[in-house]
Amino acid sequence: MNLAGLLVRNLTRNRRRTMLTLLSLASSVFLVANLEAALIHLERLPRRVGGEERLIVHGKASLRDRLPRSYLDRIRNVPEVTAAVPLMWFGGIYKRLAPENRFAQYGIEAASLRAVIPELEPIDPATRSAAPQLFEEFAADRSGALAGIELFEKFGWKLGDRIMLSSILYPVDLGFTLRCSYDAGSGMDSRAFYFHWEYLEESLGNPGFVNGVMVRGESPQALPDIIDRIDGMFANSATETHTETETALRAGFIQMLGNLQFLVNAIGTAVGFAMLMVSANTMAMAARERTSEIAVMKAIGFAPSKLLQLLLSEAAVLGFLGSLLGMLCAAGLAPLMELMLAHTNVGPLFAGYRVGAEIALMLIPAGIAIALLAAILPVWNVIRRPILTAIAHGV
Amino acid sequence: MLGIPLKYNLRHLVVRWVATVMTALGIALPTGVFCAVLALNKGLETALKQTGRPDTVVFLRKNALSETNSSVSREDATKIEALSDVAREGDRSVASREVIVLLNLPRIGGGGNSNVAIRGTTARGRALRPEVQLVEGQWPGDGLSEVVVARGIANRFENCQLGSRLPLGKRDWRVVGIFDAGATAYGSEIWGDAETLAGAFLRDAWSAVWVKAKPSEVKSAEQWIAAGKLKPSMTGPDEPAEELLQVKEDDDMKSLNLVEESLVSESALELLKAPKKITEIATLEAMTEVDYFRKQTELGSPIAGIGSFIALVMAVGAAFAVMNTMYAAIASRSREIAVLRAIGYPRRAVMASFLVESVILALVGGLLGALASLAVNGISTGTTNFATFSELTFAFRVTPEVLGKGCMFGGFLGVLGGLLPAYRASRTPILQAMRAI
Repeated sequence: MNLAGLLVRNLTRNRRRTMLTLLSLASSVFLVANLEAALIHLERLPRRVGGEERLIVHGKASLRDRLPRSYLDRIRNVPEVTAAVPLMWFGGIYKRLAPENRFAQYGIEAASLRAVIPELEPIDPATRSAAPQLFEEFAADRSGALAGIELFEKFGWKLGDRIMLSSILYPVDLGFTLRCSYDAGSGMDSRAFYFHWEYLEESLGNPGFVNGVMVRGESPQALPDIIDRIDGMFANSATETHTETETALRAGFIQMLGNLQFLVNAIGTAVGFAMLMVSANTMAMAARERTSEIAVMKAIGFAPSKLLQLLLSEAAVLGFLGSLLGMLCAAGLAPLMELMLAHTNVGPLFAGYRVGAEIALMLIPAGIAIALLAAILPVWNVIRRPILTAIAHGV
Repeated sequence: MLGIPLKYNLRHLVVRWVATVMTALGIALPTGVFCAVLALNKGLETALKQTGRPDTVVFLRKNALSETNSSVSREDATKIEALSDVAREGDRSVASREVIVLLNLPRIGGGGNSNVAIRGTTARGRALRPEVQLVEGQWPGDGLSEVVVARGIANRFENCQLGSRLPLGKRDWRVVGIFDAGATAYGSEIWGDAETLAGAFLRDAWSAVWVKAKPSEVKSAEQWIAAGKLKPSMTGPDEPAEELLQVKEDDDMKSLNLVEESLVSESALELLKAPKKITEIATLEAMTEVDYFRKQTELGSPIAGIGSFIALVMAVGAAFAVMNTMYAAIASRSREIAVLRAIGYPRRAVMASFLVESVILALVGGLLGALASLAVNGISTGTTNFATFSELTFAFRVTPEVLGKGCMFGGFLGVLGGLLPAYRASRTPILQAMRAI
């Protein structure tokens, strides 16, 4: 019988123990895989939204500041700015206050919206085909709304439906008529709700402010200069501005959750130690059981290095299978996790959450390494035992 | 019926000490994480649920949910102060007109920025919150660009230390003091003078008006219903949150949001009904200080839920490890078990004995893990409070309750991992086991 055959026999001799060890390792890998995937997902999120070419101008103190409406025209006249669209937050509650009912709402100007966000492709939500005429309908209807295709799907909306939103930011409840949908393509944000800012302005008695301005520059290289020009223009005014790329803005949002990197690393370390204990225990049990058997093998001429190889490979196989099982579970259950997270405050951040192959490339070797590390001491203890004491021990 | 002596199990745990230690450590780790999660929840809860007095009432714009979103006109503020249920000192109402602005500040040592709430308050506002104590420096002077900073914020954000200058609005504000607010939500704020801040931020309305109700009897919302002062209304599917009790006042349809078990004084109850007296169409909403902060826990941080998920998955892994150890323990002792059965111990006793052994093993691990979690006790950190969209500073609190729950969690893992092996032990066939070497 060759080494591989012995390995398989050894692993299947106590099937229950092998299974329990694998399940224990798999649950640890499952956990770490999810934590790492979440971290990577959040790190990439800002870049995925095509936000490198766009700038957001908002108040210097925080996003809640109000900018005078005149800023919009002044920003449009800044050199190298090709288009700018006003933004107003609304903070509308749909149906009832619950995390799963949340979505972003922006008061915008229909005429300039697509010049700033060209990837926003108007579609008919029923057929999902391009429908520029629906965008015209949205532009023509003062209380019209343009909602992402994912919102249509999630809430079962149809064109022409009336949507009531009551604002937490302003003392108004507004009704909107769905006129058009859009699909921003894969990985893009198709969960926003756009409406006419004039509609909100009028309901508030035309106070004449915006919360932000979204700007498109001639080229990504022009953006740093545009940032300096805009912030310089309003420096020392009553309302100073802070201009940043959409990417930077979103990254800042995620940082507000707290020090996630540290949290994930701390938990990952704890889980890694737990895995080490579990595998060390299993290998110790396996090695102890075979004390006399290994002595016999040594007696009939197996070199200690060969035995070491055999037992360590056994550990490595356990580590590999356990990590693989954990990874498969993590990858398979990712859509379910996304669904569970959708009911929390951070739900929107985790849309499209998946556990990718890159995490497997990181964790499977780590799993094998931990199992090997755990095996070294117990295996060494057994192998270096003198043959006679070892045989006597078994009887 | 006589059970198998406990000493039998204890001696075995000691003899097989390597396996015992490994398994116990395997349990200690998830227990430690579990305790840390509980301590985090406890900290968040303390910050939000233990803030406030039952006779302090805040007036906000209706549906605003938090002061950051709210605005109360100067005219309405005057009417609120004139309400007859507001406490007086001399001929002045005990009321504070306040303004909240958010400021995006960099954290010390990297880690990005976060919003910090800046409260413009008054001397009366400070008196309304006696838990807020100045520990260094002085309170900001009226009309001066000065602020005081909560200790938790001073330790964690740039430009917030005593003597530094905080760029805010168009000017720099001097940090003239550091205050301590115990474990309350105020410990995540920066305080300045209300009029000065409102002026600097061109606010023509207040964010909120805080008042103290006239001294009166304090009872929980539930008890007020029992006393006939309030009537609960039917809670429909469209109500904002299940935990809130919709309380109907008198017979009209206006309803108050009250948390069932939280306390409220009789005159505060009257103030909760006041918004419709002030404006014809109720554009204001009143809440007790207790409920105001309590409600924010529902919108609070997702970190707690994620932490529970982590502890759960780790627990599953640990339960498998316990099973492994116990199966091995039983396999190596099958002859002993057969002897025990032969001398008359019933199956139940064998099963109980092994289950107890597993639980003892797990409790040792649980205790270790719980004690290890003491390392995070008192560490203060912050997360974003989604209700106010600003930083909420809190400290991990490993209380005796948390330690107890941690041990129970460990013990439960022992039961979970020990049940099947113990059952198996009780089914050991006597004769074969005795013959086997």
